[in-house]
Amino acid sequence: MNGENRIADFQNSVPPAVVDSVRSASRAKVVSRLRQVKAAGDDWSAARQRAALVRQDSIDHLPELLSAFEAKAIGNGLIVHRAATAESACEQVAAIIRAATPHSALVVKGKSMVTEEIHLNKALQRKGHEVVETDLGEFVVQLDGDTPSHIVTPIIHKSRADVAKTYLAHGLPADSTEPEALAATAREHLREKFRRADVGISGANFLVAETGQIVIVENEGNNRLSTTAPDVHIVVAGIEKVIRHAADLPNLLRLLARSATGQPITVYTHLVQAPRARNELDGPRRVHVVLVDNGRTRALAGPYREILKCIRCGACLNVCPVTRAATGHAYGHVYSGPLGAVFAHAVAPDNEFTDLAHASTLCGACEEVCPVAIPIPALLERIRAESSDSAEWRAWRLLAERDQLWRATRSLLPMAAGAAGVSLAAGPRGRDFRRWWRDRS
Amino acid sequence: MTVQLMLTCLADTMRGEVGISAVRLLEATGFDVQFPPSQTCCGQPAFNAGDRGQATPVARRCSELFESGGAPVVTPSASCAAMTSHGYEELGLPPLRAQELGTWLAENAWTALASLSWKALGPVSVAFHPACHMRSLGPSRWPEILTLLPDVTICPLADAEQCCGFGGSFSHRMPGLAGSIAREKGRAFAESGAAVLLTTDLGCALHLQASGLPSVRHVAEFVAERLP
Repeated sequence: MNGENRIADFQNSVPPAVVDSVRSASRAKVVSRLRQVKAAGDDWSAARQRAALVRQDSIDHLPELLSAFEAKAIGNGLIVHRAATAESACEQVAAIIRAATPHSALVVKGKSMVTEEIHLNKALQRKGHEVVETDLGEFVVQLDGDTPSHIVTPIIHKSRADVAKTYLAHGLPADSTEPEALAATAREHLREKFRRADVGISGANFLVAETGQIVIVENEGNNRLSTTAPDVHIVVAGIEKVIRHAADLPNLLRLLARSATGQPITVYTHLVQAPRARNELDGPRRVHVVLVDNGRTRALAGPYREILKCIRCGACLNVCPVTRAATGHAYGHVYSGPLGAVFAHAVAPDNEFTDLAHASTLCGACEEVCPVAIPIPALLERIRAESSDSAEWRAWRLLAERDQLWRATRSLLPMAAGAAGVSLAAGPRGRDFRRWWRDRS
Repeated sequence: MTVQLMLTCLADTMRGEVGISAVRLLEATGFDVQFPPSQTCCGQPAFNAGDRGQATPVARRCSELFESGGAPVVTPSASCAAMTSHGYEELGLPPLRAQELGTWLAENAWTALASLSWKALGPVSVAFHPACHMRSLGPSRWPEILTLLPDVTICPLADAEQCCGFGGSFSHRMPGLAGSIAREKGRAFAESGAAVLLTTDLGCALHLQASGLPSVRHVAEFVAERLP
């Protein structure tokens, strides 16, 4: 049993306080999401179906849409790079930084899961650059030498007291655990970094093929500051982020915000189209886009391609009973929860992450909340089907196909189940149905 | 009107009372019940585990068995009902579409249900947990049926739709996780103030009982006890 599944193993060792933090924050987000869904009424289902079609169009025409985006973006003055692997992406970002400044650069970052995926920070630090996360959650993660445990709320596994402790351990003031105080400390510390930064790096929520626009949503304002104060803005984006039409953005952005944080819309929505124009007083002078593949084309060609429709709202993480019980770190992958259980396997060249698909009750809560209607339980079952062991179920099939044998061995089944470690009960068995049925006729 | 009872493998092997209760409820509301004796299992355990090779022949056998009976199939299990619809489609089999018991009764015999002189067995408060598979079948009708019972108070259950942690083979492959999830359900149950936790599926009930929750019962048993 042990060692068979990393999520189950992790769950054995994760401190209860961490689980409590994740569980209560997840529940709060589920509640706030539901409030938005109720408010939307019938529109929610229609909005979801529209979004599902848009994202299906994206994955059905990915190479064509990426080329269209690239052409438009270049026409707007952006510099576009393609990176087949994580290593290539890191190399290209490093090369852009090298060209931007001869010395070690100060790099400020908006929250970007794809940059976590490709281990960008480490790669840049190895080359002597200073990399500073400016999203509050990622800032704390960076101080701790930790990794985010959730794709939207990186420190869902921490309490405010934990954050204060982290601050103190790194020489930052922490007189109070009030959110405003904790945020103010980070702001003061980061102000100087924004001012001095040579390069700003962000992710992207969507790439619009029709217009060449890069769409970035945020609540704190750090992303905007990170990417407009420095002279160079580097966007790192997974290739699946592309959508065809700008007109589909309002629907997608409303669904994203409501599903992710229960907001009608995020505090800021940035549409990045071009570098600083001649008559403009500020903004980056050069904007680069690094389009990251890192297994996505492989996933596109396979049976789990629908996971690439994901818009990274995190609603599935919030509602998943397994993620709540074990926390996101249990998945051992940058993408956790139901999303990660499919994505990690879909992009991996080997079967390293197959076990994630088994740590699920297939309850379907994820599919229910997914704003783009990804059939996650069906995808998980398909992953299981890839690696299933017939020996386990052959005996069961033998009995189920021979009803006389089934009837004869029925009473033994609970004992056999108990011997196999099945946690089925329980109380008194009561009357046997077949005997009761036979006796009454 | 005639219906066929899909007993479910769990009721067959672990708790016959659920099947007996289902028959009594169906007959009390005017249905003739047939029980094809060669039935065994709908095929879900192997299907969920990913073993389509073993699941498909069992599922096909179940489908053909009940198809030849001709009458609608009713089952006291949301998970079996969902398997015979969505699961069978996924396997490329013609969907049997067995109806979950509460949904069948409410949709086809509401007047009969409402006009029965239900027994009052003394005041009791209950909380209700719909099995996860109800998500794909539509809202459970049992809460409405429970309102017909005198002396029964329904207490709201926090996160009622959250999974109980059974997940079929999940609960024995990963007992630590399954138990942790069950205990969460137990906490919500304790907070609800209800004396009894009722659920639509025997898998949920047995798993929650095994995880230490007191007073968990299949809703069909609870309701059938109060038949006049």
